[in-house]
Amino acid sequence: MKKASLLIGLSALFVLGCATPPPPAPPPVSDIWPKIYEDETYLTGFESTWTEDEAVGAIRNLQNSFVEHNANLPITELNVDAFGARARWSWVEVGAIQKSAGFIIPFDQVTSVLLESYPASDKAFKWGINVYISGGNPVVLRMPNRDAAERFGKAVIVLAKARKSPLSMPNMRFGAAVGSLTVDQSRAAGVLQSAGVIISWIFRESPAEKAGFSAQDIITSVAGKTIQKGQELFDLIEVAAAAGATELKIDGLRRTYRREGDKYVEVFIPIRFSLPIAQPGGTK
Amino acid sequence: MTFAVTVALFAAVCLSAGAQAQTPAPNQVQAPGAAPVTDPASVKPAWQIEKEISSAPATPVPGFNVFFVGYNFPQYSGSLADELAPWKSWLNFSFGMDSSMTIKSSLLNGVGGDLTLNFNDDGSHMLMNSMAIFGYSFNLNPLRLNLGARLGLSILDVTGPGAVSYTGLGYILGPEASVYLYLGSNTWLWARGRYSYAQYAMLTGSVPSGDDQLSTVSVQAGLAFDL
Repeated sequence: MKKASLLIGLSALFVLGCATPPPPAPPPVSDIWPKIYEDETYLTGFESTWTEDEAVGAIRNLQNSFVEHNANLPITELNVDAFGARARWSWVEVGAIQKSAGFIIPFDQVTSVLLESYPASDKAFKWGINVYISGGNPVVLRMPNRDAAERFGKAVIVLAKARKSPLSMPNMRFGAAVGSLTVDQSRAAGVLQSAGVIISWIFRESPAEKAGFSAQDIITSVAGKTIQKGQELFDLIEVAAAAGATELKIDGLRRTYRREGDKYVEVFIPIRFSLPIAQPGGTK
Repeated sequence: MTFAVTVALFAAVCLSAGAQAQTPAPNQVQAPGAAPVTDPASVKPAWQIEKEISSAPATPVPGFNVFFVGYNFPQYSGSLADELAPWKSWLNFSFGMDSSMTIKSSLLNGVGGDLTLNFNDDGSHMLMNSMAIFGYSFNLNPLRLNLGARLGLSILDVTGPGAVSYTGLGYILGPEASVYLYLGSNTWLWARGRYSYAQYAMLTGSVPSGDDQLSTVSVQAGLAFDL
């Protein structure tokens, strides 16, 4: 009897021990953090030595190389005039009705040009250019390859500079979109709202990407100095670059999850980044 | 004794494996306030974890809708019990389907049956209960506790030596409790206890008058599979 009880007890233990633990519940969705986009934005200043004529020629030569982003229609007409670049595309609707639409890029109102790729797109053209215009909607184009996209970007920048456009390109020494912390974000991370900035997205091929930064990282101090605005970060990087530094220590917090039993717990891990700083001729 | 030690060791291994499965990854154990991590690549951002979770193929959460089969240990009492005493059988099975309305604790229903067969030199004996269950199923993840009552028909047939042969059709009802333990891979281990009362309305053959009632305490166990 004793032996039978022991066997039953051990069998019960065996069964309980082998029972599959339930999978952890997904973490609760929080919308206070910067949204993550599938599109990838590359850091480039579109530097070139092109003249205005060469830039105009480059745009005209791209006549058959890109499509309008949303409609996925090829450009049927592309020209550059004194005002800017004009493009038009057309399509036939039900009932053989010919329709067309177009865009204008006024070079004197271009504020920024970004090189994009859409790896998750199901469309054939996975490279693109976003041209931001002061007081207007951005013009979004897609190209079959990076070279075509970069050529268009370079041409727009050359012509925008020639027309004294209020250009505001990304900071090339960091390469990330940075914003101030909101009350909710600072409360969640346990830092003062005045003691950090948050990264919205990281440009591909940027120093920030090389340093290991990720979107939603919080930067709390640069070389030991607390920062509150993105511009303070960029200024401190410039100071370090001017002093001949080849890297800069940046402290921050990374939001992540720790598994505790059957649930995910949001935690913020302190991280020290080493931002590479390009110097003419490499190291100091 | 050797078997007991083997089972104990196996249980220890299984418990250890379960504990390891819940251990956080090394990059997730550092608490805020600790020294800064110098390799950012060792800390996976929350948005990446959220993306992995949302894009991972949904793990099918086992709903409670199972087919069960197992062995039945009946103990008879009542006026027919003496008649059935010579027909001790080892062919006792229980089978059926149990379903609850949702994966959470909810109402339970299902159908099931018990089958007892015996063939020997004296003849044959067959007892079959075909029942429906109504009750409530409690989700005690990974356990499931079902409480309810079964109601159905019972068929009894005995073909014995000489004139000892009879057939009966009656109703059967009674409360039952069962426990299901999820083992993974859509498989459950179950055990059930039931008291049932059967009254045979149409009993023909050589049965003494008044011997028409059978009470059964059933202890059952087996495996169940998600449908």
